[in-house]
Parts: sequence; C-alpha cells; structure tokens
Amino acid sequence: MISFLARRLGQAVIVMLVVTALSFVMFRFLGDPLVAILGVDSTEAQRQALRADLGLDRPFALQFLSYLGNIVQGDFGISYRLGRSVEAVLIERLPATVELAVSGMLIAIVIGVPAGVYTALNRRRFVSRVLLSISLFGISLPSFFMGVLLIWVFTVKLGWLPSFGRGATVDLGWWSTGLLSISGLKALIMPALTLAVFQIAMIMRLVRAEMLEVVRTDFIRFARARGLPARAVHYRHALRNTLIPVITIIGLQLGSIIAFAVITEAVFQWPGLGLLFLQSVAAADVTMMSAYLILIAALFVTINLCVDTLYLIIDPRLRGRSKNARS
Amino acid sequence: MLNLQSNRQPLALLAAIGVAGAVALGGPAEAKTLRIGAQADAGTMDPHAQNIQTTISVLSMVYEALITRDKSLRKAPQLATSWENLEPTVWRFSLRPDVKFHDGAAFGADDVALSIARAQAETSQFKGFVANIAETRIVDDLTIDVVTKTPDPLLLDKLAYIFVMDKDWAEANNVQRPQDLGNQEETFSVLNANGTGPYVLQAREPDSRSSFTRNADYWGELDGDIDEVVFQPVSSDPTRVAALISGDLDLITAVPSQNVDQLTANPDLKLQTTDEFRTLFFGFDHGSDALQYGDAGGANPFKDVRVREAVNLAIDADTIVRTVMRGYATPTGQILAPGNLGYDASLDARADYDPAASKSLLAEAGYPEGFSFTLDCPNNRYINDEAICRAVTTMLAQVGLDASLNLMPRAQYFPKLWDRDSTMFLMGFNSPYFDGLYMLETMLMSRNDDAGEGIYNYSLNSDSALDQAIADARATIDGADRDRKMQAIYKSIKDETLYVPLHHQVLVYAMQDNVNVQIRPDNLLEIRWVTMD
Repeated sequence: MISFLARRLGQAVIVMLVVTALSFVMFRFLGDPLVAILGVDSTEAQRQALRADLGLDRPFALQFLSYLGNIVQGDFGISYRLGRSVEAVLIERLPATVELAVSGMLIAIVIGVPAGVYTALNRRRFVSRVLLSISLFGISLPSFFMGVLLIWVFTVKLGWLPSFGRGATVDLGWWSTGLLSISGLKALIMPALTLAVFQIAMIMRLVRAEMLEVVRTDFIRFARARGLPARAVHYRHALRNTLIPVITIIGLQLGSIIAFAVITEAVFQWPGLGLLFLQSVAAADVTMMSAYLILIAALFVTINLCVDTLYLIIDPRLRGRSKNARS
Repeated sequence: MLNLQSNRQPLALLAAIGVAGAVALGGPAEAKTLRIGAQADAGTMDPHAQNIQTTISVLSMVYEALITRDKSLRKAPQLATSWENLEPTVWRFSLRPDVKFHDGAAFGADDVALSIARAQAETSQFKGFVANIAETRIVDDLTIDVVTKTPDPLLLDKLAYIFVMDKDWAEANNVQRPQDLGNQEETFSVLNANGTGPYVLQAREPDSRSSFTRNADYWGELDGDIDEVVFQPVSSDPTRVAALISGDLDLITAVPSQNVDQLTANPDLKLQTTDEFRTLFFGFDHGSDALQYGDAGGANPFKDVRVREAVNLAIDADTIVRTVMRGYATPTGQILAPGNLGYDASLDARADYDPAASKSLLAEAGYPEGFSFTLDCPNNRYINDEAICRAVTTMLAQVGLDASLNLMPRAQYFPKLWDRDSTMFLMGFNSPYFDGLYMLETMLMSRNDDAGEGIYNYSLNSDSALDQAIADARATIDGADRDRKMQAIYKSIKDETLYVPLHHQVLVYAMQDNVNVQIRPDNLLEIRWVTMD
C-alpha cells in the first residue's frame, strides 16, 4: 500500500515537472512578453534593456531553473498584463470558478440522476424518448451558443436575469462568495445552466446505462422475488450499485469544468480562472499562462491520485494485484 | 492581501435602507449612474505605466494633465491656466490655483515636476512623450518652466498625455516611478489612484468592474452630469450587445460591425460614429535587395514605385469598406487620418480600382507574370484585420501577385515588425498628438533609434530628401506654416506610393437613448462631456 502510494506520488511529481517544462517552453515561444510590457510601440533600445532586465537574454536552461526555483517557493512571478503577483490573482479568481463549477455540477446531478433512473426504468415511455432526445441536443450544443441563447431569452426578451458578471459578492476573508446575495445568485443561474447542460446529458446517459445493467442482475431479481416494494428495489438496491462509476466520472468532470469553463466564463464575463486565462492569452501574459497550466495540471494530478487511492481502499482485489504487479 | 470587493452585503443593505429612508423623506433627485461596457479593462491604475488608450481613457476620469482638448479638439487649459514659449526651448506654465487632489492635498508645481520625471522613468511607457524634456524648473508654487533639448512644436500635445500625480502621495506610497515588471514589483499605484479629476476611484476589481463617484470638491465646471461611473469590461461581443439592449449597460464602445443594423433598428438605443485617428495601410520592405519572403527571381520588386502602384491599383478599397467593414470605414488614398495637423482632404481620393492598369504596370516593371511573396497580417489588432487581408490576398491574385497570407496574433506580429522581418505587412497608425508630424518622424524618416527617428519605419525606406523635409517641418514651431509643409510631404508620400492606404477606421459607440456622448477621434471617452437625460 505504501509502495503503491509512493510510486504514484513519484509519478505525479514527474508529470508536474514535465508540465512545468512544457508550459515554460511553449509560452516562451508562443508570444513575446515584451509586447505586453512595453506596448505595441517601443524602440529597440527599450526592448533590449527590458530583455536584459527580465533575464530573457540568459541561456534557456538557466531561465528555466530559476523559474522552477521560484515556483517551488510558491512564487509564480508578476502578471505582465495586470502588474500584480500571479498567485494573488489566481487566488482572487478561484472562488468564482469553483462556485460556478460546483453549482453547475449540482444542477447536473439533481436533474441528471433522476432523469437517468426514469429513462432506464421506463424505457418505452414517450417521456423517456423525449428526455433522451433533449439530452442528445444538450450534448451537441456548443456552450458558446447555449450561453448566448440563454442571454437572449432571459435577459433581452424576459429581462429576468443579468447578462454578465457575478453580481454582488460577500467577502468571507479569503473567499468571496456570490451565493449570499440575491444578485449574486441571479447572476449564477445562466452560467451554471450553460455549464450544466452538457453534464446533465452525460450523467443522465451514464446513469441510464448503468441502471440497465444492474436491473438485469440476479440480486435485483431476488430482491423483487422477496416482495420488496419497487421503490426500494430501484433506489436502495439498483441505484446504489450504479453510483460508483457515476461518482468517479462526476469527480473527473468537476475537475474539467473548473479547468475548462473558459468559453462559458468568457460569454458571461464571469471573473474566474477561465476568463483570466483567455485574457492572458490575448495579451501574451506569459507568466500567468504558465502558472495557470501548472495549476490545472496540479488539480488533475491530485484528483487522479485521490481516485486511485479511493479505488485501492474500496476494492480489495486491486490491493492484492498491486503487490506483485509492476504497473 | 488587498481587499477589493466593492459590494459587501451588510453595507449594501445599510445603504439600501439609507436610500429608502432618503426617498421616504423626499430626498435628492435620483443619482445618475453611467454603466460603460468596453471590450477590455484598463490594465492598471498607474497613470504612467501603460500607453494603451483604454487605460488612458479610464484614468482620464481620475487624473488630469496640464493641457486637455476642448470639444472642437483644440488644446485647452486643464491644470495649467496659461503657457508661453519664453525661448524656443523654454516653456513657462502658470498652474491653476486652489486645486486639490482627492486625498485633500494641494496641487502645485512640485507635483508637475514629479509627474514629468515619473513619465521619464525607465519603467514608464510614456518615455517617448517626454524624452525631449531636458529639465523642469520650479519657479514658484504655481509656476513651472519646462526646458526641452530641441525646439519642440509638439510639447503641448505631448504634455496633454502626462497625468499629474501628487508628489507626497507618491512618496508616501513609494510609487515615485511606475512599477518595474522586470524586477517583479507590485506597487500601490496599480490598484489605487489619487488625482485631481472630476471622478474619484471608488472600487477596482480588475477584469470585472471599476467604479468612480463624482468628486464633490472638483475645481471646475462639468458639461457632463454623471454622478457615478461604472466601467465594466465585457469581452464577448454578443454579450456586450445583449447587455446594452437589456439595459444592463448604458453605453458600449467597440460595437461589432455585424450588430450595427440591429442596434440602429432598436428605438430605445442610438448609435454614434466618428472617423477614428487610425488609418490602415500596407507597407513593404524597401531595405532588402531580394525578397525576404517570396520569389521574384532574386530581386525585390517592392523597391520599384510601379510595383507598389500596381498593388495600389489592384486593391478595391471601396469593396472592402462595403463588405468587410459593412460601411463603417472611409476609403482613403493617404496614410494620415482627418483631424490631424498636416491633413489634406484632397489626398483622400483614391486611384480607381483598375486591375488592367495594375497588370500593365507590373509588366512594365518586368513582372508580366507577377511574383510570389508572403503578406504578414495580425488577427487581433485592428477591426476585421484578418478578413481585410484575406480579401486583399484574393484581389492581388487577380493581377498575378501570389501573396500567401501569414496571420498572427499581435504578440507575435509586432516583434516580427520590430525585427524588420516582413516583406509586406498591414499597419494601422494613429497620431497621438493630433498632428501629422509624429508619424513623419517615427515612420517615414530613416531609421535612427537613438534620435527617435524612424523607430516605426518597418519598411526601412531611406530617403535623405524626405528626411530633410521632415526635419524642416519639425523645426517649424508656427502651426499654419508646419501644416503647409506637412501637406506637401504627405503628398510626396502618396505620389511615391511608399505605403498603400486602405481606409480610415470609424469608431462606433452605442448607447441608451437618454445618454449623450461626443466621441473623440482618438477613442478617448471624455467623461466630462457625457450627459444623461
């Protein structure tokens, strides 16, 4: 068990190193930070002075090592675009993204799971077919279009919801939340729905497929034979057994919507990480882009590590295998 | 960590109760709040760090310069009440008495001296504006002399960009110079501001919201009547437009051309346009003996005026304006935008689109079959830049010029131009000084970085007669005289087809029907002129 964890941790460190190196190299070549700092109109003398100042004239390996050294100390540098320390900006934007992603996921679960169960149990009903068609629509609709559509209906036509921004936020020390004010909640609805649409469809289809599998198994048949009420059979026995893969997928999806809510955040000018990333790319804000990629990689590595460890705890067979396997 | 949230709920609630109370007691008339939606946010609150028009525009609510522009765009007193040119290189400014910064400190000559020094700092993006200033001499509390290295006809226009910061405030907060990004500095002035302007920075949340309230102790009278300004970047075009239609915003800048018709048709909204100080044109490599990118049998055809003229004749600028720009641009035959000193409207006339004449010019120059080359073009710098270049590439193909299009984001595009590493490129130039001299000096003179000449001469064109003429215009302080000289120079540039002009960009703002704005051609939103009915 300990050797398994140690190995996984070692792998995680290697992955992080590779990502750091990649993001460093990629962004050094992608755009010139000098444009961001000096502006479009600058003279050769200014550029050379700045290049020396930033250490961009040093050998590449040296630049990377000093970057790595700073990161290990938690110093990601200064954002060229905002003129502020990268980690401070990331921490400031994180709550907006997390609240958006979690609300989107909650909506998806609340709608997706019951819909999945319903369509699995009532396969031939008209309602099931309608739900399935809608979910197909939801999976194929680009979030950009979905966002604009929602704005058009709920802001322009009905005037119910604000078109952009996060509304009023309440400051809880290190976390600013939009969940404690009416305008914050109103502002959350459309972006969260936009994020949720795809997830609803996916969770619903996943739950349905798993349910169909489980309902066919012997223990469900026996449960029915025991004369248990249908409700107990379906929800206590069948649904529960479908949840392991569903929870895994939900966890991974949560990671990915935290990381890649870029489009939704851009459409609603949601002041989170995704919007930050997009604007950093446009301004060639190299330090910010690198830090963002590293942060996202760290997020996924952590999620994967947790999932792996959970499996190990849940499933004894894995434990046996990991002893003599060399994965 | 800095705490920037503006809307703390308990406070908001108290305020709401307060407002309710005031209304119940028959309180004052409703405050006028102007909510502005722009494509991007101001990058910083530091007045000398970022030479980007959005940043300057936002900061102009809070900070003021010695000189400003009046509604007819003539220079007008702001923090200076008057000025005179004592000697060719010495200017004396009398400063406005009884002006206070937002923190209550008095404004005086030492603040002006500090601000000019601050703008000259290595970390300032306004160095170029004050590079010609040798020193400042404080005569008394409300008089200051500015000494230039050489006689500078544009000094006043340049000083109109130098916002004045309080010396004591700068010292107390350790911001005597703009932040040094190279040394990983974070400074107080990035998020905080203390000017003399009509609006006080209330709250600043980068990338989402900045709010400003009317300065009750403002020294001057305002034409505008806005009590509170909320500046919000909304980068997604459809969202910004929807927010205006739904009433979440009162005014949006950078209206996407495809939404213009829809917004015009809406009875609750109105649009306003003006010719922008930005002209788009193509430039060519004159410096290389053979094409850097392309194949013309080892030669560089673009050195030949006939080839450049052939390109000019092959481009149908009217069609580009009509289709790509949807009418929101003005085709032109020159590189200088209207409104600048030295502008001659007669040069706007463009040679008629004539592919046949273009072909015969190419044949005359020795390229009957045309030749191939790369056209470099940014895709996020100018309005519809990518679409413009695509259209031009097709048009050039009609006369046998095989241009392969190389599209890049601006962060890659400009370093390429800096290196003079382009055979043909798209450029949009604006004159920050309302004067054609800046463009002549920085774009048309032979390259001499130390003297600040030809620093944007990306085509490496070098013509001593032209240099001479420009130097002569530069030494002419008298405006009318310089105007005439520059008109002649711009005519010669057109005759030589040094650049192939396309169009002047048009600025489009959209607003609620009750908002009244006068758009400045340099895209600076002058809040002092905005009213709400």
